[in-house]
Amino acid sequence: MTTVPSEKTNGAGVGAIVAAGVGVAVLGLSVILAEMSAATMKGLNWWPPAGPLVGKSSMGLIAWLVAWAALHAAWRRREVSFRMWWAVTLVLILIGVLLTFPPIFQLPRAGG
Amino acid sequence: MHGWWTVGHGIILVPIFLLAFASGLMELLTLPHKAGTPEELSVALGRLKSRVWAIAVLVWLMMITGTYVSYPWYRAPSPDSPRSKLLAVPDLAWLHTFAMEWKEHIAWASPILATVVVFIVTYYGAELASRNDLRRAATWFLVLTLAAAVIGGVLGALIYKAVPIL
Repeated sequence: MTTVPSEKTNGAGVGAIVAAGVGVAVLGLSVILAEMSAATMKGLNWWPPAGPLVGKSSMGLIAWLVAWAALHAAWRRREVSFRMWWAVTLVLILIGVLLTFPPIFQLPRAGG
Repeated sequence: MHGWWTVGHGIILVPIFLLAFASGLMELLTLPHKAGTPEELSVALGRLKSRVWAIAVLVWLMMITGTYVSYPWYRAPSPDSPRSKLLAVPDLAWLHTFAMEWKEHIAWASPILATVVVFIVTYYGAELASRNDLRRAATWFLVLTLAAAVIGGVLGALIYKAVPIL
């Protein structure tokens, strides 16, 4: 079997993984914050034909790209703990998934 | 016209995505076993890169056409729009309040996850065969990409069945 020696640190890969978690979590946070505040909902209505969906999804994308750029700059030459940051990423993704689930993000709507 | 965009978004892109996903997942899972010689590894890596790039491009296309083309027609304020029709019938209202509201949000996780898989595969290249942690993370991200896309696809099919966008 061919074994390719590791020349790159794991920091760049782990940074990209954690940044994805940040993006998904911010996507979820944007969804529920829009439900909690009419002003936020209006503020996220960046393109009226599609409503606040464009603002909410764009917030997730912006957070992902900013986090990715920052983590890449900070970690690309470093070895970081894969196990710890993978766990953090899974928690962030879980938060994002739960906050985009209608029975959860519609709770503020039900409460009036 | 609306119908053609919907066909492109849901009926053409989705099957191609599923084919690319199945192939990409297989290449990722079997990469370490194909590292017999540098040439074999290079060929396997080339196939893997083409599949994950295809997956990411298809997911981005699905999200862009869905959000910026089909969705404005779906939610148009007129009484003839699919959203208005669903909300007008109590038995169908869940297709908007649950199905569309989940689909439109969760599906946006897919392009983020798929793009990170592309980065890991492209950046680490042949090293990925021996980097078990990053390869497994990429595999999980690919599976999560599919899960988010499947939720969007299945719910979209249910909505389309009830109120076709024509």
